[in-house]
Amino acid sequence: MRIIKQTAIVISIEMHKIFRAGFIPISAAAFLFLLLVKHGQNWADFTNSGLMFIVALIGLVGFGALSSWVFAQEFTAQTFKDLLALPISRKTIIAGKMLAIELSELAITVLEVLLLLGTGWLWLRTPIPAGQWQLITLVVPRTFVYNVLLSLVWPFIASLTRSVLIPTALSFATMIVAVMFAGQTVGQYIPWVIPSYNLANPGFSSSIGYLLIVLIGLIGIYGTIYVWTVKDQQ
Amino acid sequence: MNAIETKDLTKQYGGLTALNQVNLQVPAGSIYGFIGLNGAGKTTTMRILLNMIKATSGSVRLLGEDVQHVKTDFWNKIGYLIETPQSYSQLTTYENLDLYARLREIPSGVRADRIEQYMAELGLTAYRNQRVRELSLGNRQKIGLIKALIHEPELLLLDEPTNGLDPQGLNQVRLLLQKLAKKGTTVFLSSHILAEMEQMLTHVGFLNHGRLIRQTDYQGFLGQRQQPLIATFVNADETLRAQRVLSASAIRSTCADTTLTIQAPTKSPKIIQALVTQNVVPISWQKKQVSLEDQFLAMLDSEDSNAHN
Repeated sequence: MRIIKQTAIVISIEMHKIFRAGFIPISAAAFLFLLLVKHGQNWADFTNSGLMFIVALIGLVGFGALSSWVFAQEFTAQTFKDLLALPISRKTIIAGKMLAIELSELAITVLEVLLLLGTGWLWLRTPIPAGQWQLITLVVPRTFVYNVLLSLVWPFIASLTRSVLIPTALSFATMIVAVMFAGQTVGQYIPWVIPSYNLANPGFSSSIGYLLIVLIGLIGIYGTIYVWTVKDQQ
Repeated sequence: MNAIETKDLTKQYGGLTALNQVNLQVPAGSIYGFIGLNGAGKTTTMRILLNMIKATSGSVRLLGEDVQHVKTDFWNKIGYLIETPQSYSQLTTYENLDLYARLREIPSGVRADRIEQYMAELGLTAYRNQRVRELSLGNRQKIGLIKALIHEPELLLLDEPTNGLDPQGLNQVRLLLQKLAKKGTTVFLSSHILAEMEQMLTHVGFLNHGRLIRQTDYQGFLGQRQQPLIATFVNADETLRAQRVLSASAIRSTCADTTLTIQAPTKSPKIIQALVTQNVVPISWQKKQVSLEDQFLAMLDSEDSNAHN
């Protein structure tokens, strides 16, 4: 019970920091800008562009920057030492931070879907066709889970390198890879391509790909715990 | 009971020995000055005490408990400020203190009052809603200090707590620490600026190149200080003559213009006789006030010359 209370404290603190850093409005503004630049003339174009931004750009780079920042700022702002001798364990702090990242990513995704629907309706002046709505409901939840799992590796790299720049640059590289391989069969076996591959081939299934994504997530969680509890004590 | 007790604490980084068999004994309720030059090993000691880094060998007990085996709750008995304190620059003074108080699990009913009280005591109320990035180093230092004591710990570890503070801030911090010590909090503070510490210490320990060269209670330390005599003469020639006279009687002294600093605790008959027989009479005598800093530097000199011999 106590650990749940402590995790909730860390989540609320991290959410406050994320909110004050402006991540949610900045990503929403970037999404809106891109959507208006590349809107197309019908709902199909609008949905395809919007989903591509949600899945590849915000999902890989945006989530990458957010999850890197939440951990790396403790090193760049030199506040890490303030978290080391507290009544809340380091593992609880890591769990709270990761859950806060996931909640923020969920908020960003929901906001973007709402922006996609709202802007489309304002622009095209027609309700979204059932087929497009089905595509959104089919692609977004699934790719959201993939992107959340994939983003868990950035806290590990951010903690290891004590930098926000390196993991963010790497997440940008993953987006380029995703764009390059999204249309190719090999894409279903490259973890960072799978969300975009899923967008190009809705409803596809690849157990090896899913396994790799889960593996990346686990590496991220255990790697971060290792850096925070073992490596830094040497 | 000792609030801090270390046994043969040693830390090595590769071939470099940062701490060498340090045996600290810090009595509960004391204000212990942990004194050393930059790089002496003060911060390393603090980090090991807080279990932030592991010692190569030796043990640490805080408030009677082995820090390697404490539950996380234990850390609420300890407050600390290590090196230059930092805060989240995008947040305000109050927000920073509030989130830290929440991490310390201070109930919401008490939290706000306590933050306001400490901000008032350290003169931070005017900066309550200002972002930390806009604050001076001294004010950021005060935020770090409040973070260290917001949960009213039994033991406070402060590494260079007065960095960047102006005289007023220095006085505010001094008064606050003395008030806490009166309430029973043990304060362990390190510094290399000694003048500011003299007025509040009850105990003192000196660290040099990773070795604890001395630790004692401060009153005892004051009593043992060698306070040299200063004799003033009418002119520089007389002063030089006096130095020669004393030197012939094996009394050490150093000459500067018309003053002679004599390495002796009192105006002994031997000194007076030596001078009077040669008709060299000073126009005034006084005892030199030896500061903690003088004494520390003298100890370092003596350590270094012992090391060379």
